[in-house]
Amino acid sequence: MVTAQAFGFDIFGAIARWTSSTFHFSDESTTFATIGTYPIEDGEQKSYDSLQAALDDFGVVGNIAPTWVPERFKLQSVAADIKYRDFCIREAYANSDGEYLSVMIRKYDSGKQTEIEKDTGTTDIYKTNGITHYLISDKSFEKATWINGQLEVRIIGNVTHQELEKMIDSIYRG
Amino acid sequence: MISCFSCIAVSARSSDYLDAYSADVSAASGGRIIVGVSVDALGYMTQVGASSITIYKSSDQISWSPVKTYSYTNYPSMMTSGYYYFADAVTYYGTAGYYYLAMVTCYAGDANGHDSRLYTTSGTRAIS
Repeated sequence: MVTAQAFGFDIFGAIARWTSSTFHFSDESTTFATIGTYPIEDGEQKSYDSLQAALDDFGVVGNIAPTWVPERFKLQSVAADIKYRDFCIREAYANSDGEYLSVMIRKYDSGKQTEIEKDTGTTDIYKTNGITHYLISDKSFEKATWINGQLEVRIIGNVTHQELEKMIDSIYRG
Repeated sequence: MISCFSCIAVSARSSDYLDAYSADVSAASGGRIIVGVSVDALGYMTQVGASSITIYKSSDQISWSPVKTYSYTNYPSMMTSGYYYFADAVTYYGTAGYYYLAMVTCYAGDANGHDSRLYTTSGTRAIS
């Protein structure tokens, strides 16, 4: 893992930029994961039993879904929606202590720049499976974000840095 | 009137309520200007969405004038309740040939408080 303190990085064509308070990608990125089909119409929402089931329904090819999450979390919901071209799948976990964990998968749109809140800590880079993952600290939350082909993926939760890396590793174990 | 915009939103501090947010403006036939907004909160919120959207118009992309403001108080669908994200769009009927951008106030809050961030889109030319 590399700790990056630079303002901008250019890796695989994706440019990640961050300040002391926000983070975002710009420009195009790698071309691994693809979306095969849209099973719902614009404005519709559909629930699933698992994140992988949702990805399968959208014909997503590529390793995207974590197969491990910290045991203290219970799955609350998996939902996909399309609103004004904004295709998004969200998997939400929670526990009895009020902790929260979410995995969000969105169609990457270089023209719609997502600003991610962060604290003043450094942004770490975690490279695995040919993908650069950016690990961001935001007070009591740890966040990870990366671009894989046509998809932008984010994990956010009351988890540790190590747990976040373990979740990412589980994506590629196959 | 304001004279300069950036497509990059910058907030002054980390938020207790907002995780991430984005907005964009696109042009559709008939002069339609569509403002898309996505707001992700840090967990389930009493309200999450856009508290206001102001659309600006320009002929030269240098000087911009406000032409329409959508406020949550007048358009309750700009927020959702008891959820952790919001995604929706508003349509404004502009004039072909002019440029439009939007300033969106992204909002999330619960019983303990709330927070908001201003996001400014880049400009888009309306088409006939």
